[in-house]
Amino acid sequence: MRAQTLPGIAGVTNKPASAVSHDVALIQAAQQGDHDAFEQLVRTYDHSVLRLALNLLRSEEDARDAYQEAFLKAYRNLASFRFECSFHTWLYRIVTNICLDHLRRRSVRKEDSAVLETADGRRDLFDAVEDQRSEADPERELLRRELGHRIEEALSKLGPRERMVFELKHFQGLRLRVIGEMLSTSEETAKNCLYRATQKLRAALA
Amino acid sequence: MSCEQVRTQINWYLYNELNEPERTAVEDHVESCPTCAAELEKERAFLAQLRARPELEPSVALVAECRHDLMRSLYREERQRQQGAIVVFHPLEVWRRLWSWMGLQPVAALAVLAMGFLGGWYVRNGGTHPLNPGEAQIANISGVNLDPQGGGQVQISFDEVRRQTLSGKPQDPRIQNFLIFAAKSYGNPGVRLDTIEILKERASERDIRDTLLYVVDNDKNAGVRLKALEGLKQYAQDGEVRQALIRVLTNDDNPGMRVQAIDLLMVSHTNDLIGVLQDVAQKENNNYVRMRCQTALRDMNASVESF
Repeated sequence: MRAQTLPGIAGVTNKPASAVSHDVALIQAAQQGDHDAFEQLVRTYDHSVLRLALNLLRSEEDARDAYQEAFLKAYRNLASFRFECSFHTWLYRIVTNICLDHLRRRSVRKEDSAVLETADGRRDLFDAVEDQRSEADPERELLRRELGHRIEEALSKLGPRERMVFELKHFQGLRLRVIGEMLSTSEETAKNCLYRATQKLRAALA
Repeated sequence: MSCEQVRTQINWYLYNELNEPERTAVEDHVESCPTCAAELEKERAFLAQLRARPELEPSVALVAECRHDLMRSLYREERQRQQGAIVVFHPLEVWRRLWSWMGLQPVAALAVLAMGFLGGWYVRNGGTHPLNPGEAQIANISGVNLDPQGGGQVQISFDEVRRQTLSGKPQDPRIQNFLIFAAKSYGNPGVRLDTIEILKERASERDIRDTLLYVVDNDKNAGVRLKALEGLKQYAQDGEVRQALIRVLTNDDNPGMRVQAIDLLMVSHTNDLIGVLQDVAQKENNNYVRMRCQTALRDMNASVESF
């Protein structure tokens, strides 16, 4: 019997060579001032950027701000991108730093993270997410909600960096090497950070 | 590998962070060690449990709004950058450069300076000479001739860029022509967005509606196309608009546009829409758009699949 890896963690697939060369051409064109090329880059990456920001910050408004700030920063600094890492890593480095700043500010304010801030006000996270299992057993659904709230609570008590590494690894499925690159640190440091985060979550949910 | 070593690796094994020999070593060990196998299952259950946290997926509308806001910010940023760049060609800078260039030719320099003062005097006194800082900007100096006809004269040939402002009501034909031109062909998406915002209020007019239809079909920027589509909302029953909406639903590469097209087509759905929706529901790659197609079909009491 061969053991399986964790179900549900989506791996990061390498882009096919043609897509990579297409990206390179777009980046070079955008660096030359081609607006349409930059817009295409935005369209390629913005959904995942917004998803990361939304899941980390749990606030539509903060996620929108992070999105804006990240792409404006990318636009202003595109000339300094030297293809030393993938554009995805470079862009995520910008986004994660912006989100870290948000989280740091928030950890001072100690906000309730079990709600989602939307344009229509604060909503329970579970109400905000379309439940694919709406026909499931109500009692089971209640337990799932309760557990989800406890996890949210536990996640909100992690340090901003631990929270970030855990999100990138556990929910986004990125490799620790890539996470280290994004956070301008080593793979080993990212690994230690993830270990601490997992231990704290284990203790909180025990 | 000992049990103790395996325990330290279980987490990294489940996170797929071990290299091949390390993975194999863990797998070989747990196959023959029930205690470590139980530990592995316990850890797997713990990590799987953490996934009970709801994952948030940004809605198509939120993505479209963010893109729209970003394009506007980029437009503003670009406009500021361009204005900053023009400073290089500001007349005072040109004079400074000329002065520096003529450093070893004092007579010519004095002549140029005198011309500057005289030029300023001429403008203040109602002349039309363009060298008035703030009104026109020198884009290019094509030639400077010293003493072309004798008498210590200097002749400078240059091109100027002058900004003009046209004001008027949107229904003023001159304003309307500019707006239609800007919506269809102006390079900057931010300007096109602002233009569509004005035009869409007057979509009852045929020319304007045609412009909005042109933008929906041809603009490269999804935010601009979406704005034009908004302007056509009230005319969703018009035959040409319906055809355009079907083209959007079947051809537009932006899911937000396709969802909007479904909504507008459903305002007054007819049976000819069923085939289109069934076709899209089968071919559509985007889960959300596909789901919306299926919902629309169910609302029309039609089969989700075509036969």
